[in-house]
Amino acid sequence: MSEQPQPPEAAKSEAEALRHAYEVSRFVQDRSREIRGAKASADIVRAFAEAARELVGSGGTQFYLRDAAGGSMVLHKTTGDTTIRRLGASPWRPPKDMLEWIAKERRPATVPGDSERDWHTLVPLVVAGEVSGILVLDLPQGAGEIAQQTVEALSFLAEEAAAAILAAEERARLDDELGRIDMERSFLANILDSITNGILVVDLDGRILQINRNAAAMLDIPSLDVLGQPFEPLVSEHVRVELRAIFDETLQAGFAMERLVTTRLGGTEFPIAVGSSLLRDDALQAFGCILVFRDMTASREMDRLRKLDQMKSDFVANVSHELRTPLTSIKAYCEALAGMPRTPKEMEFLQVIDEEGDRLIELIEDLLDVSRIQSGTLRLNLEAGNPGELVREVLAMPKLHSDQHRIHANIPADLPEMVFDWNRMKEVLINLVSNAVKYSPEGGEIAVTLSVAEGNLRIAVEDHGIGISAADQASLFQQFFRVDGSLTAKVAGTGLGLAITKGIAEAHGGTVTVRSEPGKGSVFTVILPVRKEVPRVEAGTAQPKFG
Amino acid sequence: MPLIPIEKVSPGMRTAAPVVDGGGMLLVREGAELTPDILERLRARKVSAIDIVISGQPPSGVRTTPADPAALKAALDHAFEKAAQHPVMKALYDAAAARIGRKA
Amino acid sequence: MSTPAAPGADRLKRVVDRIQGLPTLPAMLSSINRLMANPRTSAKEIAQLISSDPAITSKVLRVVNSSFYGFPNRISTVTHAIVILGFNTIRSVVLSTSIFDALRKTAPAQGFDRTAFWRHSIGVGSLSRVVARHLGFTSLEEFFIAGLLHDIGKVALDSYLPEEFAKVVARVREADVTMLEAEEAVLGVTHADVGGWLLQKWSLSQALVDAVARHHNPSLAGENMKTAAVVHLSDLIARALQIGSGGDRRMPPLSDEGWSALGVSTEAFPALLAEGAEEAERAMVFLEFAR
Repeated sequence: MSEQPQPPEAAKSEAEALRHAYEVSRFVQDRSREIRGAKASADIVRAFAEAARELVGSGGTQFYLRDAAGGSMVLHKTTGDTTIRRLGASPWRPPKDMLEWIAKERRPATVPGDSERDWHTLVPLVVAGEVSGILVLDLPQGAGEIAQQTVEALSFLAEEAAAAILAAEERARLDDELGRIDMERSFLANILDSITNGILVVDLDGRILQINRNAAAMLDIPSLDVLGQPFEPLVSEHVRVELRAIFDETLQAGFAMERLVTTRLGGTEFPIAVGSSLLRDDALQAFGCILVFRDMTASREMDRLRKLDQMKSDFVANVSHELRTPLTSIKAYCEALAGMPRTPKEMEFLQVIDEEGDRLIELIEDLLDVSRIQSGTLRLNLEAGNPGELVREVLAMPKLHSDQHRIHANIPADLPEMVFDWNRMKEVLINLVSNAVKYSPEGGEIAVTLSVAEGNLRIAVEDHGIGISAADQASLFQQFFRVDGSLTAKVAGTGLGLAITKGIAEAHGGTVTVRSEPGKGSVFTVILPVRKEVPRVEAGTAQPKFG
Repeated sequence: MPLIPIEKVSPGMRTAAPVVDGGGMLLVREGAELTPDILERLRARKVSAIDIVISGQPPSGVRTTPADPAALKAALDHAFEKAAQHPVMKALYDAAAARIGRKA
Repeated sequence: MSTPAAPGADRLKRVVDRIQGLPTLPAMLSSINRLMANPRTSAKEIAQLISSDPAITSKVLRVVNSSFYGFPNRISTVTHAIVILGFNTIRSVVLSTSIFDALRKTAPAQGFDRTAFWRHSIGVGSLSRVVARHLGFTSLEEFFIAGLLHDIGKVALDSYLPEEFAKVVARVREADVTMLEAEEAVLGVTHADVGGWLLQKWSLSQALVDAVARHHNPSLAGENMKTAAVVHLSDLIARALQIGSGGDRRMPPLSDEGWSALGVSTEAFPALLAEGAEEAERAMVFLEFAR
């Protein structure tokens, strides 16, 4: 071991310097941990001020903050007694221009106070590029004694404090945001529950994202606690089919036109208008579907629609009437021509004109019926009669018969007398039977079965034809609806028959249902309440029905 | 601004810079007219030389004659003649031209 | 000239080998550096060192009381200057005044306007400060010094290789090219190379050496690329503002790599130009030391 070449004095002072540097860095580390540990801005400033005060051995501190308007620096807080040392003199306050100078310099500086021996160290807090505050430390020793290390340590602590304040502000901002999101959420829930419409929001898989009280009530969902559940098992079968169709349409087209769905609540039927549109996120990516339910029974919308419908019906009625007049003339002249001597060819042509004229008249009658049904002006001529006889009369009509089909009737002997519009119900039966013939092109057996159960008359017309798919069954009774497809392409028809059938059945207080399986055949059943007397309520004021 | 030995400084001259003693203490501020009295005190403080303002010379290097905006614009155009294709240089040119435009 | 092109370092050596009698920086600078290496050094100790040179002391007080530093009250002693403005500021003031001092005594060549040159240098120094502040740097004094000294090679060439430098100046005037192009053509080395070499000889920091040597090509400044890019951009801005003149009338090309390294937006130009022009005007106090 050789002797250290350094003189002992130098070695001692160097060791001393190292030890001191170590102490200062330990101090700075400890305090910056403390500063960073503080959660609120005020605590951070307090920890920073305390650390800075100890570092320079200062007696008192002042802390200046920019006023809220971003204007001048305002004294925010003082600690320690700066007057004792100064024997009663009022404490030094940095002039405005000094504070602004420090704010511009953005680094700690020691500046003179009132006298040569009075110095103060000013440390700016630069948060996010802006000087948000200035700490003023009374410097106890002479200004010349301040060491570079002290200034650097102050700068370091100020940067730590600034970073901590920034983090605290960010935290506070996040907290605010979360609070606001909570508020917004309950605000939204309140709005949703206050809307008279039902709102149901589902994701692309049909799981409920949001539902308000009214939607739950209209769909007869007992609890609002259904978020995340698929909506389909929660609603009645009839509604499910309708909603599924609306949902599918929305996914495909982006929206679904409002349509009427009837729901049943405690035995009462409610017409509900259901509209829907696709929900997209900020990136325009579809993530769900919002369904809006409007109770149509009492809404003014109903009146509006009724008026619109009235206008349409009036229009149809007028046009039909105007069409019928010339047609009647055509038929009359046809007859007149037929009464004169004609060649067989001419007679054949006149026959065609007459038949086509009849078809037009039928079509116009159908249109008139539909418009009457829709406007609720379909008047029933109610008379007591036997439905069995009606069926027999219809089945005797030669135009319903074909070579390939065998039509037979099952008519119980003990059918009660009941009141109904003979001609209208005849129309219904003709419709159903001719449909059965038309849609069983391969021929086969067609059965018309009458029965009475639970006070209702049921007239079932069964064929073994092409059948109707489930999707088509939903729209079957709409006007002008015809089952598409190659199998039906050859079948003539206006698409009004079933709509009229349904309208007539409903005007009687009844309904029409269909049960069908593609390829196996269909059963159309008209269900009418058995009524013995002429109802007192005028049939003309019956509630119009849609769909 | 010459540093003049104190023996050659005569009363009436002005200091071009603050005069300080060996300890860094300010004795005379800049721009002060040196009186015989002050010179005596400076000698007593063992000041050896003083920065003196030569008459007619402005005390600082601040430009005294404002440039003609048209000349400035012409010089700017010339400087950027080949450089302004670059979008950054174009932006720099625009900013500089706008300043000249405001002064004109 | 029929000599074949030699690698840059060789060419630089051939040029600077002919520079004789280069001034040295005052010993005080290395003493300040040594003192500041010890963190416990007090303001008083450094003040004592500076005050031992009355010429530097008076200049320091002149500068610290100028509007460039803008301190609201008068600063009457070096100790106070250090305490108020900080250790680094005073070191850079001493450094810049010493360099001006070291170079001002040499006789300027014909056709090279030293006053315009120093105005340009002070302008680039001020703009470097402004750009660095805009980028969030804290050691603004170093940027000021780097900008101030970026063209120091021109003074060195002008002072110590006057004949060659006169040819460069003549070529700039005749061909209307940049100093850089003329130097490449006439000397095969540039003022940036010479400046870097000089600062290295004066034992200044590597960041300063790189910033000066690469202020036309920051891509080559390695880890000091950003500093060099700040000076590079500041040079262009000072030229656009026409603060003084570096000796030519053309804009040197922008370094795309340097530009993208800084991440400055061109939208910042109006503000940078306004701030830079104002700060440069205040910094012209340094001009006195160059006379």
